Amino acid sequence: MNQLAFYFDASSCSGCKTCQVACKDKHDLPMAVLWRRVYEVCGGDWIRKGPAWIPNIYAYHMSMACNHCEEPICMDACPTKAIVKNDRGIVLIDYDRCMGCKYCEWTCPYGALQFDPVKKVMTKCTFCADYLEEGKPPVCVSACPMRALDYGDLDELAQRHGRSNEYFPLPKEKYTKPALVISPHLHARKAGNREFKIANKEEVKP
Amino acid sequence: MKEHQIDHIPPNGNPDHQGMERRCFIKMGAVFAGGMASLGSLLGCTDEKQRIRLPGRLEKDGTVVVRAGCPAHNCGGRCVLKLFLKDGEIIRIETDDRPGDDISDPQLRACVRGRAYRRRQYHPDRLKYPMKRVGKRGEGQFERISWDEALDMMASELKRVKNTYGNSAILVPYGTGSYNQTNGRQTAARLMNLFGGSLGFYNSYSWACISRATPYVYGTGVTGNQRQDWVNSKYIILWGWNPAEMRDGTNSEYFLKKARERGAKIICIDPRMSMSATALADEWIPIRPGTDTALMSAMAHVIISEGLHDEHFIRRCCIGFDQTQMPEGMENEESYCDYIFGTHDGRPKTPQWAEAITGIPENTIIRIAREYGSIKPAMLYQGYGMQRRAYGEQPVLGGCVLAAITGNVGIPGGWASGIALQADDGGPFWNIFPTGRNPVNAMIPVFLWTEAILRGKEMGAEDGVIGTDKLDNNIKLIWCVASNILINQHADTNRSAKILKDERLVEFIAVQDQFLTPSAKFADLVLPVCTQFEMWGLEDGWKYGDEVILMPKVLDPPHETKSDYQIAAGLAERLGLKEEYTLGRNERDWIEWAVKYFRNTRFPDIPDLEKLHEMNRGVYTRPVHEPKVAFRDFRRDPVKHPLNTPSGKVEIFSKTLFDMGKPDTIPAVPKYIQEWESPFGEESRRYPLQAIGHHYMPRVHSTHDGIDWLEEAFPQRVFINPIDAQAREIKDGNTVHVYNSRGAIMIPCRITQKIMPGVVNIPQGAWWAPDKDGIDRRGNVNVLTSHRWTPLAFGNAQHTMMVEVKKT
Amino acid sequence: MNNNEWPLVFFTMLSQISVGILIGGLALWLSVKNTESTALDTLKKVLIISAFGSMGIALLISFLHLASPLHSVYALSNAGSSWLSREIILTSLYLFSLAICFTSILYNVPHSNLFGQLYLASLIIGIVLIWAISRVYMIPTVPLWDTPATSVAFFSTALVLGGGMVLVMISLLAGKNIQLPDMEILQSAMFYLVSAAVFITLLNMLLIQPDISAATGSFPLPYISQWWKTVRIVFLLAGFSGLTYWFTYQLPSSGGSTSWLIYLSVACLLFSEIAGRYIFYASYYRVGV
Ligand SMILES: Nc1nc2c(c(=O)[nH]1)N[C@H]1C(S)=C(S)[C@@H](COP(=O)(O)OP(=O)(O)OC[C@H]3O[C@@H](n4cnc5c(=O)[nH]c(N)nc54)[C@H](O)[C@@H]3O)O[C@H]1N2
Ligand SMILES: Nc1nc2c(c(=O)[nH]1)N[C@H]1C(S)=C(S)[C@@H](COP(=O)(O)OP(=O)(O)OC[C@H]3O[C@@H](n4cnc5c(=O)[nH]c(N)nc54)[C@H](O)[C@@H]3O)O[C@H]1N2
Ligand code: SF4
Ligand code: SF4
Ligand code: SF4
Ligand code: SF4
Ligand code: SF4
Ligand SMILES: [Mo]
Repeated sequence: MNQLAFYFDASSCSGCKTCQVACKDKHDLPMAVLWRRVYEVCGGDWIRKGPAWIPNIYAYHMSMACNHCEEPICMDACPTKAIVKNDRGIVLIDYDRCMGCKYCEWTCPYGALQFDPVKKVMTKCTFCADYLEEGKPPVCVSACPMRALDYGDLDELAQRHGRSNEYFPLPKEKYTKPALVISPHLHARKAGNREFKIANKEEVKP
Repeated sequence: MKEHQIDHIPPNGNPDHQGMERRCFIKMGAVFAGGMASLGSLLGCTDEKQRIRLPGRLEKDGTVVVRAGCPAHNCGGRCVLKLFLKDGEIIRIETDDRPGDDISDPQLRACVRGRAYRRRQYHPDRLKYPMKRVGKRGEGQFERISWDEALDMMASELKRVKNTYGNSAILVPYGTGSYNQTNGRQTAARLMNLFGGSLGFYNSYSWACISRATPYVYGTGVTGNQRQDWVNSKYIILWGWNPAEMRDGTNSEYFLKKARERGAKIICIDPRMSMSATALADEWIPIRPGTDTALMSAMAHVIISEGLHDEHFIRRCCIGFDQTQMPEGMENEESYCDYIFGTHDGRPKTPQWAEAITGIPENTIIRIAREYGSIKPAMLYQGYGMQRRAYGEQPVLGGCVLAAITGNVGIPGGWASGIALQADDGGPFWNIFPTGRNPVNAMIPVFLWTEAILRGKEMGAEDGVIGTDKLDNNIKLIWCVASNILINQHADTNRSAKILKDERLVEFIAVQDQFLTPSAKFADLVLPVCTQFEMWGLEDGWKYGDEVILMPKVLDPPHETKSDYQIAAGLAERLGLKEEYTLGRNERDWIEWAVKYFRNTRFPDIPDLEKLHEMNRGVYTRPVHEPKVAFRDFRRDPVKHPLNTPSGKVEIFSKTLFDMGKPDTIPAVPKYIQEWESPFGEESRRYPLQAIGHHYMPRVHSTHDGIDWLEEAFPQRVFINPIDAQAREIKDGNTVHVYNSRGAIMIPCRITQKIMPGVVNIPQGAWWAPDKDGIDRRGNVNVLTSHRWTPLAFGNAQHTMMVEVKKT
Repeated sequence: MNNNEWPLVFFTMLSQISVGILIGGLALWLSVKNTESTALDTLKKVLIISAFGSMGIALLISFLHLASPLHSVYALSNAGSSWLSREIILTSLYLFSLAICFTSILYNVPHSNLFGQLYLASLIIGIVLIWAISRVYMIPTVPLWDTPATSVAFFSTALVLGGGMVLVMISLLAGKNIQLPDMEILQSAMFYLVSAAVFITLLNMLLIQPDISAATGSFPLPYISQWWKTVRIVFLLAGFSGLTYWFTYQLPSSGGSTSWLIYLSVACLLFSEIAGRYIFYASYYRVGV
């Protein structure tokens, strides 16, 4: 099947949030709606050794939008069939059907679904479908100063970078089969890790 | 779709005219949508308006796509924005989309601020009209006046101060809001120079120490290879360098990513785990701020005692390394090795010694010293934060010396350290706009302007004054253009505010900006400036750059705003200098001139303005396939290509510095000197935490503060380690007091492991917002900084300060 | 918990109360010996009206939760995969069936078989509805909800509050001098029903623990103030103790001043359940981000 996917190189993401703001600008998103947002994972301990300090800490970023999952839990959950998956595998929301019950928001383990208080419907990343149609890359991808984002056919990306995305803070794949390929940061740990923490909660859950 | 050329407005030579009106845009859109573009039919609507000619694609819905430079603030980068214009409004901003994106000529991708620029461009608080002060100075009470009144007032004040005191009582202060070539501070400087001059200054707030100190070692500031060469390096130290956040030339972070892909190991030495440390480094080594020279010395100790230094290079190309190669007459003085091994002071600079000072474990020091000493070629790239400190000259000299003794000078993949302007021509020419010669010869170090207000007439060489023995005036008039230095960006804000409030000191202050900044609140006259989308402009790279970026005028200045050039030209008219000032050129003519200037200097093949504009690529570049390497000739043959130092060699020991006779503060070899405010000093009892104020992602200094999308992404916080927070019973997100003897701020904190215990970070640039008790509620770090300057460069040491934090 | 989830607290509780009342009613029918009484007819009316009323209010409240209620017609379209869609369909069916029941009472056919059949149909739809409501919350990515405890809790709420409400209604009618036959039996039946439900509630709280280890979420587990937890348990026990005291020493209660203990106890149970439902929503916690 033809399934579009994102590639994210966590090993070189600086957390600059250009992708986040580029997306906001492209889609005119109101405050507190972030179709793409950047999680900062950070924690660990400082160890005192005589006069010295040793940082036994971890830190990396995770830039995340909708992953246009192969088994979108959001789509199954939506009572109005407002969530649809198109022939390129892009999961889209039909604003004319959505009744704003926010139920889907509960289900998505990637925090992708975000209610737009102005439009009064659920919204999320569209994979910049209009741009794809014109043959242009999604805005976040062409925005990244680190070239840490890419997109393409899921299988191809997986072939190139290895098929893995189960890194903290993301969930295990099994829930939704996300169309997402990640190169992990050297500090990254597997999904399900119980010690790691998200450090910028106020920035990603406004 | 075809490329359309939209040229619908008759030419107009008057630079002072506002742009085309909005309705013309709408009409234009309609005409194109109807597919019957008739340029002639549009001529009617803009008779006396200046033309806005937009090249570029016209989309189905009437949107025009124009590529332009991101407004040239002092942001560390220079990028291309792709503007989507509809009905005379920017409706979207994207970035460089040139195909290829190869490192010889990479896309100049905008950062988060460029992408959020719409929120600044259309911010409701933009200044609209000229205003004069009504309340007391600094209260921020203003009243709208006309441009005529404003310019008359300005002209008469200039004349009055000139007649009463002389030109040297006038200051056009440091201001980096616009590096747009024909805009910003320099437009005022040109006028003042024609008017008889104004008090000069040298140095910058950015690079005071690094630009002054580097030449003592290398005789030049052009110590850097071109960036494309970085991929040849095998070991890279980001020493207090954070290009992922401050860019240091668009794409620096990307070049480092490429270097890493090619196998370079990267480490980062910084008190904070910066964005660069996270994204680019294999290892982060936290260091106690202000102790870098101690670490450098200990690394030298390991390198030299283990024989990892490049003996051959040192013998051929350096002096002052050890007793055997001291300059004449200096044979008995302390050489670099003498200092490192403690021959004179009895204190060998061992890793153990440095551990206690830097907080870095001895073993780590030994390890990185061995790595840097043995992995070839290696880069030690120093950032500028650590030289914006007490004795900020020392880490600069120290870095240069480490690079030299390991032989990393003059080779591909190596790096000589220091300010590292780019080979072969020193990088971009900032400020090509001809400001002319300043008839006032006197120059102060840029950081000492408040001193020159208080006691200018007493200032001489001991205060870094050059060009005269003593200043003949205190500063009496300030014309502040594209700058927030008066209040926000200078050290010790409360002190600056007190000085500026006193109308007997500075008698007249004019501030020319786009917003009512904290500095503007201290103005007697506020002049509203349009944004850089609303005027013609041109920019080149920030630090590196093999490009020229065009900034065509794409919007009309709203309300009564004008460009800096238009304002200066209007003032010139009142001062009887219009012809001399404008040379009959309007804004666009100056850009034409600037393009020619570039053609005659750096870019022989650059097309003329007309063509550049038509191409609508945003940028003209000169791809780099064979990156230049600094000091290559020198290394090959140091006799035939000597350096511009007194000895012609790399001066590890500088006799010039020695001759200054201040060994405790200006040593002849780089030394660790305990800072004047330090955790080891007396003051740490009351103020036990070191504070720094790094250059933050959502802002360019104070520019962009208060832009909602950026604040949402990067809120202003004081960053504090959990250990320090716990000791103070502070929880994440609590609003805390940060204070010292100079002032206090109160903002929420972010508890983070990414900062070393004992250090807090209050990102610099937040707009000073004192409450009724004088406590700043926005978190301007300069409330806490000291205005004491560094010994050699008279530079700002704004990162050196001790504070205490407490729960509110 | 988000403030905008209060409508859901009331929607779920009111719909469960509604079904609970029907269940209570059934229990009455099964225990009463003398089924020919006008007082009983009145009770039937009261039961149906309150079941209908609470479900109607529940539905209105659920609309409050929708940002674009005009689009809610589409909600019936995804019964194929969405439990929420199924819940909404069942809600409509249930209300519809109650409405017919109600009409049949209005036209005074309560004695006929028809009413009994309609009543049973509503009851069955109601029970399936509660099941569906609980399934709405059993989301694979929400481990603290995705347990049988959710279903059990929703049914026990129905029984505790449904039984409690019926008990209150009986007592109220008695207070109004509407003489119900076999008062003692009816009240005992309701007491046993509520007691059983309280035990189920307690067992559910103690025994079916969600598998938190399945939670691979990244934010800290939600913090629920001790205050709510205390209200939940204290009021549950208080309500139950009150009823037990009444059952032991004051049964039967003939309404008026003598039944204040019943009202107070049921009010306690209601508070406890509201707190419980608040805690339920506040414990929303998703895997991932
Ligand atoms: N986003 C953004 N980018 C900018 C700017 C901006 O305002 N915002 N400003 C631009 C301008 S004008 C300039 S001059 C440059 C400034 O660039 P820099 O001066 O290099 O930037 P800073 O953030 O001041 O400092 C860089 C790093 O030095 C660290 N540091 C501070 N003290 C010490 C120390 O004692 N030792 C060591 N090893 N590290 C230390 C800080 O933690 C920080 O991570 O940035 C440019 N780029
Ligand atoms: N504590 C501390 N203080 C510091 C530093 C630090 O590291 N720590 N860094 C220092 C450094 S490196 C620097 S370079 C200085 C920078 O200090 P400033 O040069 O004062 O820079 P900004 O704060 O960006 O202020 C620029 C102003 O120009 C305005 N502006 C923008 N575009 C235009 C234009 O086209 N025309 C006009 N007229 N105005 C315009 C903006 O609105 C803004 O108010 O700050 C220094 N201050
Ligand atoms: S733009 Fe790129 S580097 Fe920046 S946060 Fe997004 S993914 Fe990371
Ligand atoms: S990421 Fe979330 S919103 Fe996107 S398709 Fe998957 S489940 Fe649905
Ligand atoms: S909020 Fe809209 S898209 Fe989400 S479940 Fe409800 S109706 Fe469907
Ligand atoms: S693909 Fe488009 S909509 Fe999706 S996150 Fe990127 S920019 Fe936003
Ligand atoms: S780095 Fe500077 S020029 Fe580039 S987008 Fe950011 S603010 Fe604009
Ligand atoms: Mo700077």
